[in-house]
Order: sequence, then structure tokens, then C-alpha cells
Amino acid sequence: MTVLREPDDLAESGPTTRGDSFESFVLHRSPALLRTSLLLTRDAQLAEDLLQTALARAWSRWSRIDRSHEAYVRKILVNTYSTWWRRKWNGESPTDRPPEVVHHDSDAAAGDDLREALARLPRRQRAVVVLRFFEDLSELETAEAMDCTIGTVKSQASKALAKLRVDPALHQDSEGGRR
Amino acid sequence: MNTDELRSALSNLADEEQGMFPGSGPDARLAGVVDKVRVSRRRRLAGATVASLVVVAGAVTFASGVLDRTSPTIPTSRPADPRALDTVRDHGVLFYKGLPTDRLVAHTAAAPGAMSATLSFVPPTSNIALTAVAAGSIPPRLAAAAGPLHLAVLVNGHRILETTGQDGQRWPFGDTGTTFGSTKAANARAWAGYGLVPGHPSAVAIRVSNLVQDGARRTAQAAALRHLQLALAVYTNDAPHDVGHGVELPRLRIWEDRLFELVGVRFASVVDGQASVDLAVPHPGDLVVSSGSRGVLPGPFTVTRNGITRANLVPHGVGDLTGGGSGERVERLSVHGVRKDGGVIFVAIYQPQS
Repeated sequence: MTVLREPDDLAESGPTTRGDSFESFVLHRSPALLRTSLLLTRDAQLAEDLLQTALARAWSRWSRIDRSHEAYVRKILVNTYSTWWRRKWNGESPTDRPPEVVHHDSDAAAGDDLREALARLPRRQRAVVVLRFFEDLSELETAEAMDCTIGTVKSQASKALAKLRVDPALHQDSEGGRR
Repeated sequence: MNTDELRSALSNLADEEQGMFPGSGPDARLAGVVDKVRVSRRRRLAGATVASLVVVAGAVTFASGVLDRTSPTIPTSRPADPRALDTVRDHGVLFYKGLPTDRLVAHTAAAPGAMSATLSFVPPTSNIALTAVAAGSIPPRLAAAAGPLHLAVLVNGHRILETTGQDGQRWPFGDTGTTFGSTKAANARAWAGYGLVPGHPSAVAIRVSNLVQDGARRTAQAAALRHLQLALAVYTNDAPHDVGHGVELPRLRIWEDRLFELVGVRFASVVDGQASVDLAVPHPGDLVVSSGSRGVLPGPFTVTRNGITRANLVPHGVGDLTGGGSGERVERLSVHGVRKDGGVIFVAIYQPQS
């Protein structure tokens, strides 16, 4: 187990017991948060990076968090995701034309359809969908996690569900067809 | 799809994603958190109050030595923190002074909230690199309210670059400096095409290309802009040199205020329309990775990290492309493309210099 401690050359005063509970949290709860991060980012590397970023931000305040650590980290994760900007690769542009044909089996294709549909949602709507229907948070909990009002959660959820209902990938699926 | 079906589908999708990529595991995750905390502290200690800062475009031809082009040797022990880099401050924005062969030619930073910045300079050569950034950190709520901000970069009146947020919450902070093509000669030709003449004045500008018309969002954008500083810097671009197959790469790169040294390049020839480069890194660590191609027809290729497709990319220009950079942890990276025969693709690994 890696011991989380202040880097020697950057040491600051701080609670010496902070690391233990933090490590326990990472050990036991971070896998669940990674699932949320995966659904938000739709990218394994980004998901891990997003989760580590959220944990790093929470760590400095760990001993002062006066409520559920998980809710606190989730809130950082969601808000970081909503405003995240990542460096672009130089000299290259993303393309939707993969260089080779990928063959899907039916289960993977179903996941791909939902993945595509989620990708078409704006970030905050995607976050509402993940928090409300994957994490099963209440509207109040979702509002707290997203640092917004319950009304915003309701409207964003409504818009997201409306988009998902007419999304071509899921729509064709429900009619028995599949691309 | 009703909400119950959506719940079930999301759970299945999460299972599927986690099955494909179980994540780093607690140990590696903790190590990653430690690294991020360390970087954050280093930045604070360095007085870097801006979140997105200037990174030198080019780097330097470092000590001589034979680069292992077929079997990169990557140290198995974690390197010490790299040395600090010299900087110069302009209106609160830090610029790197450069490295032995790449030097800072000129720089400027506008006041926070300014909608444009212009830099006039006399280039000593047409082989330069341009850094254009919007430095700063916008509070999340404000960023969400403001939506995307469009920035344009102009050189002697030619619009060479336009950036924007991706989907309303992403902001166009600056990246590494802009060069063109994969060789110094190609870069110099491109800048000459934009009117850059050594010994004669040139002007570069970065500006907010438009604010939205909607009242509330326009107000939010103006407020968001006050958290940003537009900045420009021009460097000479002498560092890249031939590492094989006509590919020019710098031996040193700066990434997030750290110096990275080239420790290996692996090439693969395109045969039967395909090429794949696979470079294993024996331990997780902070790495900068470049990939690219030389002498092949343009077309998309896939970058895969740790077995997960990271991106489908298509290079700019024809035939050659400059390697991209990434500050991500990489254990195994491959580039796979389908092109016509001829040319090579490559993966290059940079590791922190101790």
C-alpha cells in the first residue's frame, strides 16, 4: 500500500492522521467512484485521471470535511468534469473515422448505443443522468453534488431524457432495429 | 427507454467499461494522487497563480549520445524531481526563458479581461515557435454560465488558428507552442508563408473573436474573461533534430513546468497498408508521449493506451506530422494505422529529467 504523505521537499504542517483515513477511502470507495467517472468521461484514461484529480483536491481538506467524504469527492468529481479542459495533442485532430473496422457483438453494441447517446448530451445533462439514474441520488443530493438548484436538476434531467428518447441510436434499438 | 431501463442500461454499461478497464488499483491511484498533490504544491510554491501557463514550444538539442531507436531503455526507478526552469514574469504571467538552443525572442501579456493582445517582434529566423494562451482559471459556475469562448490567433494578418470550448464548459487555454510540420525546414517554410521575414518586423495577435449576443451569457463571458489573461510568446525553434527516418524531435521538452528527456523512439514501417508500434513502459510514471508519422499518406490512425482506444486521430498536413504530447500516465501505448505502403509511424517517450 502506498503511504500518502507530504512530499519531503514540499512539506507543510497538517494533520498526521489524515493520510490513513484517506487511504482507506481510496481503497474501499474509489472503485465505485471510478464507475461514475467512466460513465461521465466515456474514456478509461480520462476517468482515472478525473478521479485522481478529484481525490487530490479533496485530500488537502480531508480532515476538515464535515460530511460524507464520498459525497464531497463526488461533488468535486462532477464539478471538475463539468469544467475540465484537457491539453490537446499537437498537430493532430480527433476524427470519427477509425482506421479499421471494429466488429461488435450484440452486447457490446448495446453498450455502444448508450455510450453514443450519452456522448451527445451536454456535460451537465450527462452528469444529471449519471447521478440520478446510475448513482440513484435524489434530486436534492444531485443538486448538492452539482452545486445547483433542484429546479436545475429537474430541468436538466427532463431535457436529457427527452434527448435520449429520440436519440437515433436508442430509438432504433427500441424499434427492434440495430445499426 | 423508460427510467428503469435507463438505470439498468447504465449499470450494465458501467460494468462493461470497468470490465474492459478495471482502473489503476488503489496503490497506483494513491501514487497518482500523490503526484498531483506534488505538482500542485510545486506550482503554488513557484508562485504560479495561473492555472494554465506558458509552455515553451520547442526544446533543446541536449547532450550528444546515441539514441536507441529500436529498443528504448527506460529507467525502472522513479526519477527525482526535475530542476526548476528559469522564467520571466509579464503582468503576472510566467514565460520560460528558454533552453540552451531555444531562446525567448519576445513576449507580452495583456491585463486580465482584455479582449486582445498583440506582440510585435523582429524574428532572428523564420524557424520559430509561437505560444498563444489564455492563462487563468475561471470559476466553474461562471464557466458553465458563460459557455464557450472563441479565440483567434493571427500572424501578420493571417488567421492561423482558432480555438473554442468543446461543448460549452471547456475553455481554450493555451497548449504548447505552435510549429508547422515535422521538420525545422517545413516549419520555417510555413512561417515564411505567413509573411515572416528574418530581420523584419512581424506581428502576432490573439483575440477574443466574438462574444455571444445573448445578454445574460454575454455578461457572463465578459466576467469570465476577467479571469483570463491573453498572452503571446515567440521562441526560436532550434531544438528538434533527426532521430531517424527523417523524423525530427526535441531531446528535451517542457511539460507542466517540468523538463522531460527523450528516452526512446520506436518506429514501424507501413507494410501492406498497416503499421503498429507498441512500446511498453515497465512502471507507471509521469511520461510525455509523442506519436506521429513520416512519409505516409494522410489518414486516420488510432492511439491505444493500455489496451484502450485513446483516440482516433488524423494528422494535419500531408505526409508528416509533429508528434503530439500528453502528460498522462502510460504503461503501454501503441499507434495503429492503415495507410498505403511506405513511410513510418513512431512513438517517442519522454521521462522527467532528474
